[in-house]
Amino acid sequence: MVEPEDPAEERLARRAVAARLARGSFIQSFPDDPDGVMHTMTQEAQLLLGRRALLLRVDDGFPELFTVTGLPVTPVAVSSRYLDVAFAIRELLINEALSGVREGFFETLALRVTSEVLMRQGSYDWGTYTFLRGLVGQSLFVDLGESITRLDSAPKDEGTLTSLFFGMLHELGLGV
Amino acid sequence: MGERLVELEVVVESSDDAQELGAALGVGEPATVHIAKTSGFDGDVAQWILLANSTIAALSSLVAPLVVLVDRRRVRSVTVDGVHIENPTPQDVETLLRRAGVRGG
Repeated sequence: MVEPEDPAEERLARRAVAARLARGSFIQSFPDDPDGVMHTMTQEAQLLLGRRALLLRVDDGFPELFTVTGLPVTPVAVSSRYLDVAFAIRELLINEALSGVREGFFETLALRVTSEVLMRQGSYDWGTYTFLRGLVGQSLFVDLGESITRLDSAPKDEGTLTSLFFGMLHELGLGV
Repeated sequence: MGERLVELEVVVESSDDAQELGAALGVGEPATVHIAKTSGFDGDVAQWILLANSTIAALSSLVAPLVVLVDRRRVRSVTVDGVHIENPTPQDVETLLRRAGVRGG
């Protein structure tokens, strides 16, 4: 049995996530489309947990997931950049047309993400170096854009759901 | 009409730090206090968060212990009524609280 929504408890959960965010990051809601994949996953997770969970999208932050426990509602923060990276990894793993160049793509992706994390941490010299390493002399580039808009059109198969949601469900499990 | 409540979030390094602040808030004045923890991907506790809705009077008893913790670099961030400061100095904390009408007791 999942408790009914309580705006005060939901606000508390949002405040806890906001307090943990780095400067410049901000919270958005996922579209509340009852047929959407995020809505479906949240509902399923709540039924499994037997308690309310709140899935929050964080923009302009580290590509990370985290949860806050000890509150009446368990929030899970999912950065949109994390989803971008998860989408890219999924594409690289399942697209057989990329099998011959997969290694190069993964190297480029790793350098790109590392560069972003270093920049956000304030290591501008190493961030710039890593960014250039992933750019100069490369002929392969990974599209890391706007996965949020592709969420609900992605195929709802085992590969998609596993690559996108294992982290979120893991975080929810920590909150039990 | 009830007394205005101030929303406070403090991210600290340990459970003891959060408990210390929570105890300072709980002395005799109305305040709602939650202590929560964030976990990293491996499940290790990354941070502790004190969340409070509190009267200005109750918050005045928090100023001194909070400033001590800030001075000892145990506080990662402080948010008062939506205004957020990372790695605050004691002066930052006093200014933030004074802006919300809180004075140290």
